[in-house]
Amino acid sequence: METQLRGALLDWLRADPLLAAQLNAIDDESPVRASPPWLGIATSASADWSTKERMGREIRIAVELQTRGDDGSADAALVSATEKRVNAMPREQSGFELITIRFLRARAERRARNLRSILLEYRFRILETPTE
Amino acid sequence: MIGTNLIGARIASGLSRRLTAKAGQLATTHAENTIRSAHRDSGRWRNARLLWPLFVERG
Repeated sequence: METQLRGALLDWLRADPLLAAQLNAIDDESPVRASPPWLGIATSASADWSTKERMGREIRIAVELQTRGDDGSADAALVSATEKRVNAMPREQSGFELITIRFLRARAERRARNLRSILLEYRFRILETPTE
Repeated sequence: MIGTNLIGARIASGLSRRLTAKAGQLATTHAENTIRSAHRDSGRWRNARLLWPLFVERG
């Protein structure tokens, strides 16, 4: 279910016209070859969140945005667009249902070669779609 | 009465042990994060154990 959610989240982010226009890559891992700005799923982990009738997972996903330059306002706009997009993810997905999406925390740091990285951490709670 | 106190003491002891283990784990992760941060290791953000130590343990 964790892999399914990661895939659905990536598809959803890639389908955003604003993000697609401004980012060079939106990848499942931090892209090695893409030049900034790019967005990638830095890591994820899951734990059981099942009910008596339905299998469920609590999944944490960290999304990393890497940019270059000193323009903090451009970064802020990208972060804001990413957050809005994640929160607007459709609750009904193929194979599972999103019960809650919660932003946990964010952090940012400056890196070598004028790079800036921003990490956004989320908690998703999902239940498998019941079979008829 | 004595039996109830014994059960209470065992529960408190178990809780204390679990809290101590969690605190130890958090301290270890914090130390590792500090060292990696000092070495500018960007990989620490790509390691679930370092981001959510107690959650990864639970999973």
